[in-house]
Amino acid sequence: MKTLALAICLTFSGTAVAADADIAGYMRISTRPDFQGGDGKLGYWNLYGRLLNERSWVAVETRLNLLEQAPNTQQNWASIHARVEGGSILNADAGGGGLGNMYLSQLYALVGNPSLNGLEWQLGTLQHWTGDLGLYDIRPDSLFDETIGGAVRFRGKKLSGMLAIGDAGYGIDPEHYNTVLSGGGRIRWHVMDGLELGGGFEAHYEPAVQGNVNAPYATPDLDYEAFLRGEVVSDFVAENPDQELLFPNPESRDARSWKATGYLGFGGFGPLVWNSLYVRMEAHHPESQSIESFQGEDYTLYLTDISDERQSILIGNEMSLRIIPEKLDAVWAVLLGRHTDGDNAIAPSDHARDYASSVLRLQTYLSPNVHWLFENSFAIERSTNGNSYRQHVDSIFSSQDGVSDSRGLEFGDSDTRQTWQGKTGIVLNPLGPGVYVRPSIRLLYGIQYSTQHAAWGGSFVDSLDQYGDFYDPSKALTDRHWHQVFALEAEAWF
Amino acid sequence: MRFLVLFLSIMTIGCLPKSAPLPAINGSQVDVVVLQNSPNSTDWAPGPTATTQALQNAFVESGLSLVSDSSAATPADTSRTFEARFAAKKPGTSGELLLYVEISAQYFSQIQGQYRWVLSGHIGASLLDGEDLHTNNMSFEFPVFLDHPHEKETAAIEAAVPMLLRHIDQLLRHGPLLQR
Repeated sequence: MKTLALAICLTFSGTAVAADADIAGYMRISTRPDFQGGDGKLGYWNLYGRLLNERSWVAVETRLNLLEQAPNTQQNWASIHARVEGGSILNADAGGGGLGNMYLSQLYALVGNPSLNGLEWQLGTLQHWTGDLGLYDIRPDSLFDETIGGAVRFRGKKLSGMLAIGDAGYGIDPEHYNTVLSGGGRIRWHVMDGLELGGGFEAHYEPAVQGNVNAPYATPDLDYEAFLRGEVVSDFVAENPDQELLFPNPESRDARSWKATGYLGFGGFGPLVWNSLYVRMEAHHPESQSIESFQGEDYTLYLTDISDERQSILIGNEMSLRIIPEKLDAVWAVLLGRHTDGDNAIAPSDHARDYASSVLRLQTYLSPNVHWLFENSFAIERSTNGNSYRQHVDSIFSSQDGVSDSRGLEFGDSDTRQTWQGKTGIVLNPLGPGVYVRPSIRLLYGIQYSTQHAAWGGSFVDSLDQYGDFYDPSKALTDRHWHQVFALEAEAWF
Repeated sequence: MRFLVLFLSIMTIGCLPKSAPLPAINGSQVDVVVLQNSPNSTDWAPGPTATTQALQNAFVESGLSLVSDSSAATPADTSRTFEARFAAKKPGTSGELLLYVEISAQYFSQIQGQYRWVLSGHIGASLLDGEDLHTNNMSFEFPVFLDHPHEKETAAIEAAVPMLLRHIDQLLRHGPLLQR
């Protein structure tokens, strides 16, 4: 404990200390001219594989060694990590590279002492994961994404992990801050060479605080359909004429949420380089509040009771294979997800859906530095609360059960979207073979088929008045299920 | 047709003969010594076998043969400086090149799905030419990125081979080590 106190004092003291800085980062920049009206992405999101479905990104991380590790001593060491990242680069997106699009995503102090057998203390942001699904750019076992606080980490030969506690209030709802106690940990067991197990847990508890408008509350008898339609107050007034002032006061609540993760990794035999299997179960934190306007007055609705039954499970697996050494590598990933919302049985949403996806990437090495890449992906997304996708150009008129209904809560004429993507192209890797070896310069072509009409980001009409303005009535309307892009992009870790 | 031309061009580039990983070097035999330690220790241990073999292979492809009695497994001298430890090792016979690498791997952090390690150390090369001993050395520091959290120091040093070869190439291109 004395060591920790000393290290903290040294870390945050104003004393001038000879410091050694190291800089690291990541960059991804691309241009993807799109003559089909898209914004440069092949599809909507990385469920179809991150390749061609993500935008430019840059991250810069610094590590400042305030107290360097001195060999063969028992002296404390301390460092500060800071990471700035964002998705805007001049001329690459609408943000124009503005620094307002960047954010300080990580800032923490790490302190330790060689005599403590690999124990380290981390103070600051605590986001931590132990691996990812590289083809999707998804980290299923990421914990403490919203938490700022303190953690003790240990790195042993067989066991490694962390215990953490902190506050996730700003991370969960920065506009309505209320303290959310966050705690948990993870452990990872190196069973033997070629086999690893891991697990993690994080719990959130947001206590009721009398008098704090940002604490969890629930508006009594809040009807979900009326809430979706923005008619809670108008319904109340209709039932209680001239009694707007008697609109029910919110009732105090506690709010809870949690996340559990599991990991199984194995490999190192035959053509299997490594296989990572992740499972994540999550009970999502309830929403705080929403504003509804009626006759010029704003009413705050408190949402804890209608958003506290949202759960999800995600299973992801990624397998790296060396099919022909030095000639052909493959990575195959699968992702399954289910989101349920016990409070909402009437309207499609991101909290009421299933999805399944598979991505296979093959990379063949024409020479150590010149590679040819092939990627194939297929995904099915299904809304479990009715239609959510427009399949045809005139589906804009469909809003409930596939027919026009201005009061409909659904959207489009199908509850399912199926997407296939194929990508191929040349990869130049100065550092040699490897699917994830960087830096890479890529010239790629991608094609997508989706059962949804115009299933890519763009500036297509999305309302009836625009529909009349931007479609030429003299020309036949055609569905757009195919989309293709060419891309020139560069990616590097440094 | 354009696609075919592009495809054939790329295939042609890909099939071009590879350049030798290292330049032509004076000498007939090479002894590759790779030692590693951790940042909080001064105790040196033999480096990963895969790394040593990869460097050996690069020299063999450049026309050198390996010495039969390598000192690769010998721990470093306990001297404080690289220069002193390097000086304690010398090629055994005329025409022998000694490549001496000291390397440390230190974990940095997770960045965008990869695990960044910082590799630092020194490379020394000495060539015994008759009675003359030619030496050259350099320090290095560069990152490598690993895909999985179970990959530790050994994997980081193994992943450093391409960058080590680039540094060795630079080292050998200066002074009398390079064949003229």
